[in-house]
Amino acid sequence: MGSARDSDERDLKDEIAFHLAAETERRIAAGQSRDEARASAIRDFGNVPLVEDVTRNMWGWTMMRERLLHDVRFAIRLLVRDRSFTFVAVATLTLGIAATIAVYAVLKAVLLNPLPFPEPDRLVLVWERTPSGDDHNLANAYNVLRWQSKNQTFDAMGAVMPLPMNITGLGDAEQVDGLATVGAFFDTLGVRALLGRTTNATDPPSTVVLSYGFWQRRYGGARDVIGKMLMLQGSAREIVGVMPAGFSFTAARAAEVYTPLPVNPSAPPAGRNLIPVARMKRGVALETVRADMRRVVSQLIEEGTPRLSGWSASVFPLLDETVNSVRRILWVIFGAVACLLLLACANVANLLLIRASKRGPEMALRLALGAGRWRLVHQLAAESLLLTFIASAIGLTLTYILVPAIPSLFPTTFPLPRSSEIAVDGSIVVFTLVLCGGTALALSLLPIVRIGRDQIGQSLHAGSRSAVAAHSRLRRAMVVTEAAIALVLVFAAALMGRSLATLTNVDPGFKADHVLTLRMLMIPSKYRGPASIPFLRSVLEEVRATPGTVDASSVHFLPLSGAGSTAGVYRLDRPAPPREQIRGFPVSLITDRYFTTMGIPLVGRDFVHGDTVGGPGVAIVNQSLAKQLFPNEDAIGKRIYVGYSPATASMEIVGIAGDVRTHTLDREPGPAVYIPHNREPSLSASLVVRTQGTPASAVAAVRAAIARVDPEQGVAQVQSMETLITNASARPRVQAGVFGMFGILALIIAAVGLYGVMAYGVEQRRRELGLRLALGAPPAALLRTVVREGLGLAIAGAIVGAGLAWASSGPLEALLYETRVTDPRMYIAAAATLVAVAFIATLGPALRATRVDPLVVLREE
Amino acid sequence: MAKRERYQNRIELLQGTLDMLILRTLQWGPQHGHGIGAAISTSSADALQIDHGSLYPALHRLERQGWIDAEWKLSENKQRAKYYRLTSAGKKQLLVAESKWNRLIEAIARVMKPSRG
Repeated sequence: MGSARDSDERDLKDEIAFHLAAETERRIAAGQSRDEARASAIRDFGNVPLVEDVTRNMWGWTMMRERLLHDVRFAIRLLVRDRSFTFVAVATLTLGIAATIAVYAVLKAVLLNPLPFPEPDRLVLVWERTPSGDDHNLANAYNVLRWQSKNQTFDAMGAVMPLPMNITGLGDAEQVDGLATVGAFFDTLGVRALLGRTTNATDPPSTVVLSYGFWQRRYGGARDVIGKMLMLQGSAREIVGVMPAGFSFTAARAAEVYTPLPVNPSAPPAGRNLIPVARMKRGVALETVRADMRRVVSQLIEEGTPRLSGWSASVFPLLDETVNSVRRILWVIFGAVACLLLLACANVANLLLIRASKRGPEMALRLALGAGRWRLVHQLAAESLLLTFIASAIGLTLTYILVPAIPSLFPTTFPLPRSSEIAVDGSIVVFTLVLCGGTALALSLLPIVRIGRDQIGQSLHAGSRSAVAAHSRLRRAMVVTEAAIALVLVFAAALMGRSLATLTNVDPGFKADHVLTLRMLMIPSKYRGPASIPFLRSVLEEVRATPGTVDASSVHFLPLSGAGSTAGVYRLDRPAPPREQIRGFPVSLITDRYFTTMGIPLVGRDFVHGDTVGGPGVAIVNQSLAKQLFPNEDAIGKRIYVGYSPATASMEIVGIAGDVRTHTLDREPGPAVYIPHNREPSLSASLVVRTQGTPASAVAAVRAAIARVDPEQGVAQVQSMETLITNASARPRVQAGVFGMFGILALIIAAVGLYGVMAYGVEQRRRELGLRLALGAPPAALLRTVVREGLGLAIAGAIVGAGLAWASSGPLEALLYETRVTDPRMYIAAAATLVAVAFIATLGPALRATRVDPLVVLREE
Repeated sequence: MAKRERYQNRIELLQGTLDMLILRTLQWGPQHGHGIGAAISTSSADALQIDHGSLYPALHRLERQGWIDAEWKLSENKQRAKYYRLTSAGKKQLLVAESKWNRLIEAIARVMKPSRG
């Protein structure tokens, strides 16, 4: 093939050389000088390379491969020649393509790939379902054991309880995230240890399995760690295994140590605190499993299991449970990058069109020489493909470099699940290739339509009115499309920003400034039960006496921390409502001076140290609860039932506190109850410390105060209350950040598009503009003409875009806080931004229009 | 689609004319590209100025369609030149083209006559 082509190629050159030689001779014979004859022969022949190229095209389909190479070479020459065009086009496409690949890589790893366990489709989480319908309630250990023995649809079942764990004996006391495991947790997942072994149902609590990260951090990855002892929760545990690097379980992704939790089947623990995970039998459908679990629970209720009437169990696939928090936002982001890519395509297609118009004379010549139209289409397609290919290659490289940074966009309080699984692998490369092909196709489609419509006569006269008009109509349509897409993205960004601003201005119900928080799990072996009361009191007294602190108190779970307890509440001076009607309200276990430390208004009296086990039961309720249970009555002095524990069955209300947002910032506060820690001692106690200076400045002193009481007691999550609130709005922040970025990129791309079209339009109309100037039109009038035209395009785009936004913004609403997708102010804000940017983009070409020199222009043609 | 059809017919008409002139010239015997161009100019008394560059795409196309053959021979000046020769298919094609051309001339003449008189 190659040699045949080479000889054809030589023949063609020889043939033309002979023609030129013969023509030169003829002209010499006619009396011209040799040089003159040679020059005029070449001139009359026309553009030699162009003739060669068109002739080559006549050789038929056998030469397709060579032709493709030729097209690509030609495209490269063009791209090198027109560097600024190439730069803008490649940069725009790279942006769109890189963003799309990166988001796809995340989407695929997080939502689409199976979980990294054997046969992951069979893994489910099992929850208890409350009488009021919450189907994600933690499970009671006793119930889990019964489920395990009575179910007929699971192969294996285990459970976990996320727990902070105190580590001592390895330098400073430290509290890390841990996972207490019940039963065959590891075997249910089907995971093996990297070193040593995993624990199972028969292992005693004196064993511990380390995470890869903890092993690396605290033991430097030493392989002889197996068999060593680790001081955990104040007692020595034998290290039996180390988990592989990628292992994490959805309920506690950051867990660093795994230790068996003993459950005594004969003395069932009261609380609900476990997350059960189970492996379904092979071939059993989820619905069958759900029915089986309903059967098991009703059987347990019939057997008289305590605190189970009205409850049920719910079963969900582990994958869904792992990624549900980010499913919607990831799809919405994917939609947004698709818009961005579309915008980039429209922009580059427009630039290509402008260039095609500038190359009109060349195209016309090719057509006149007999080049087929498809040949020109090939040429343009080769150019698009080349541009897209370069952009895709850069995009893929960028993604490869940047993907590891993506999880860090998500703060720890709104973590991206499965982030360790995100990788740029073969499937991403395939996706990139498909994307590249699709983009190139989209880019070449326009020129194809364009050339298909061109009439040869019009193309021969590149300046022909109708051809120019048709071209510019298409270009304008593209700019309007760009503006429309940009408006959709700016609108989304406006919604997210507005939502975040609204959320940031929400009053949480307490004064968050100058408050330091520390999470503490008191060492169970020392402080279980009433033993925690004197310890916690000593800690608080020590902290309050520390210079730089104003006040200190404790609560078992901080508001907005994502953790909390609930219990059914009803008034005791009326008949107890039926079980199904009892609603669960948040219950907080606090020590004295919690309300003053947090700056929460309180009517009535605060708890005192003497409100303790054995004393009269007292409770403080919030205004919502007082209003709901005691409308038009004074709640203080009334008695209520709090279903937290037998010790809280009858509590007298001694105070009414202001409402506080406990669950999330975006949820209106509902009824809530406070119980004295001393009445219902808990191992979990977060300290809240009001400080004189910044919370950060008091950290060392507060830590030292705790260490003075017990040097083995670790603390975790030391942060200011303001940080905690910021973290509580992590998802809206991520959303606003991502969409803000998309909105800005979209505006830039659309502005480049508008600028390009307006600048080209001004260049095309220089004669008209020059003429108008010469006839006495004031420059300001020309300026107005151009600006009005540009703004007209932008406004048309804004209107189309508003329609698109109206039709497509539905899925956004669930991501927003007190912001409606139908809010007209958001549309106006987005449109105003777009038009303002369009104005700036149009100003340059408009000013150029006023600087056209009539004399130069009129002499030009 | 309709637009494209119309456009193609037009191209063929233009190309066809040059093709016909080439075939007609080759009726007198094998000739190289330059000779063909010169012959067309001379026989039309220089009325038809053919863009020499456009000859070669046409020649190569006709060759591929099998209407003309080519071989390399030495020219009168003892230079290597590519000589084109009419094939039998080419001869038939020339007849078809000629009759089409005559019909076209007649039709146009009929239209143009009234304005002359």
